[in-house]
Amino acid sequence: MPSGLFLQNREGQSTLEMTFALIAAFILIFAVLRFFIWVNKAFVLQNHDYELTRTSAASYQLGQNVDYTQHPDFKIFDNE
Amino acid sequence: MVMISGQKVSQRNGQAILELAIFGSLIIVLFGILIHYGLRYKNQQQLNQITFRNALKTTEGSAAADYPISVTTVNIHDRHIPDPANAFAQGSIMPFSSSDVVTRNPALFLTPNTTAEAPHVKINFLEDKYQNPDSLFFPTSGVWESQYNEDSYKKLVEIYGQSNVWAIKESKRICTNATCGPGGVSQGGYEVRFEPASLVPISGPYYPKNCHWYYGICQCDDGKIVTFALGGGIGAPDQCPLPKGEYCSCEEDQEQEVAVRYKVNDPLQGWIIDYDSSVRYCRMLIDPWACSYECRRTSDQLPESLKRCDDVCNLELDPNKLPNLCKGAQMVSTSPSRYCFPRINALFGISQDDCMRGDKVYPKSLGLQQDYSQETTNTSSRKTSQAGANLTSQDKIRNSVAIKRKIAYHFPLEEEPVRHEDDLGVRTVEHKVDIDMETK
Repeated sequence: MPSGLFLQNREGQSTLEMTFALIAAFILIFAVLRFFIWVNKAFVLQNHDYELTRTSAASYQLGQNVDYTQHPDFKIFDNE
Repeated sequence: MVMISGQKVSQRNGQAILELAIFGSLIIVLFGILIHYGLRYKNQQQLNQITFRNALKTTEGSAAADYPISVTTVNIHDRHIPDPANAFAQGSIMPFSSSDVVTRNPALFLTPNTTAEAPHVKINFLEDKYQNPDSLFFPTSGVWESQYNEDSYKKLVEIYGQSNVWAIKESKRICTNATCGPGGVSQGGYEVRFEPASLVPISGPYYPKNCHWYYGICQCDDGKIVTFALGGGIGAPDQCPLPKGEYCSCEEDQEQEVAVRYKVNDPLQGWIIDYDSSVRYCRMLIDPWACSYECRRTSDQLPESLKRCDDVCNLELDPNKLPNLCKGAQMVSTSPSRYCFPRINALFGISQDDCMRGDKVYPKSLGLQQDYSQETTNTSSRKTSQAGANLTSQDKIRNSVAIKRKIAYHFPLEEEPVRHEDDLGVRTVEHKVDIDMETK
């Protein structure tokens, strides 16, 4: 029985460790996923705005730059 | 048995912690690298777009006088990249750079008339949010001109290329049949040119005063010029065809285009130049063999083309027109001919002795220098205040990095051009972290 108790404790410990590790891993994965969503969105927005101003930048507003400050900053908890 | 089991248990516990420590930190580092890559490509895309638009903007006046026909735009932007390896993820400063050149269709067919119209490099050191682009302009070639000389012109065309050397022609009244000599003895069959044409009545007699040969043209003290056609048979090339006191009167004349000067768009006269091409040009300018060797390499290898290379490269070049950088050359070997140019070496930080020994040389480039210095300042402050049961704390972390860059160039018109290294100024990138906490 004492031996069995020890075994139970050990199993509990590894489960606890795994729980904490998984929670930490999920938080990290979530944050990184959010970050990559933001990066990809930024790529698309930058390219979209760049192409949108292509004609004007080559003619009546020569060399006009995209206003990158209008693009959203990185926020982890942002539903938009 | 229990003890052994206990030991085993203890070992397994340690293993789990070790696994967490190793794999956990590896995963964090991996995430850090991925974040770093993501930001790098996003920022690089931004800068590429901005640089192209800036380059487009430089074409605004490219077809106008005294404006560069093409501008290479170089943008440098130092940006903060968060890095989990650094404390508080303050991260490091990463330099982003991008360069573009746009040449508009009308400018493609233009050649620069002045150094101001020569191609330039424009360097912008961008601030945060892409503000304050302090533009620095540096010509990459210079334009000089000289009185027309057939031999020098032909040789320079071969060395610098047809598009970089061009003759300036003026419309002249050319006398095709003249009566010359004392008392108006006819020496028909020779061309007599009067310059400026408007000052000399073509139909009337002209009395040259103290004439002498200058670059193949007979110039007289009264500012007028008399030239006779090649093969005319009057006088040797080193003396004027008409002795003092003789005169010509024109019987027949016609308007012709005559080369009076030539201009050269010379890469050696740029403020920012390249070591290899400078040595190559200087070698061709001072050594007919090297000129012919390079000419033969690019010719179609037909016998007449090869002969033309030899003929052109053996033409005499006016020594006054040799660029300052090429002066004082010392020959290292004869076959193939190799030279050390002390002024070029000084400009690119090469020891003349190393060059003369034939050691491999490592020239320090002109233009924006690769190495830069950065000064990092970290400050942190904490302010805590208590009012009743409320405890408020404010943490401020300031990370500031001042980056200094240098640019190297030279002034080609200096008698002995030297390397100038100027600070481009200091750009500061700041990263702020504010943590406000209120506890009740």
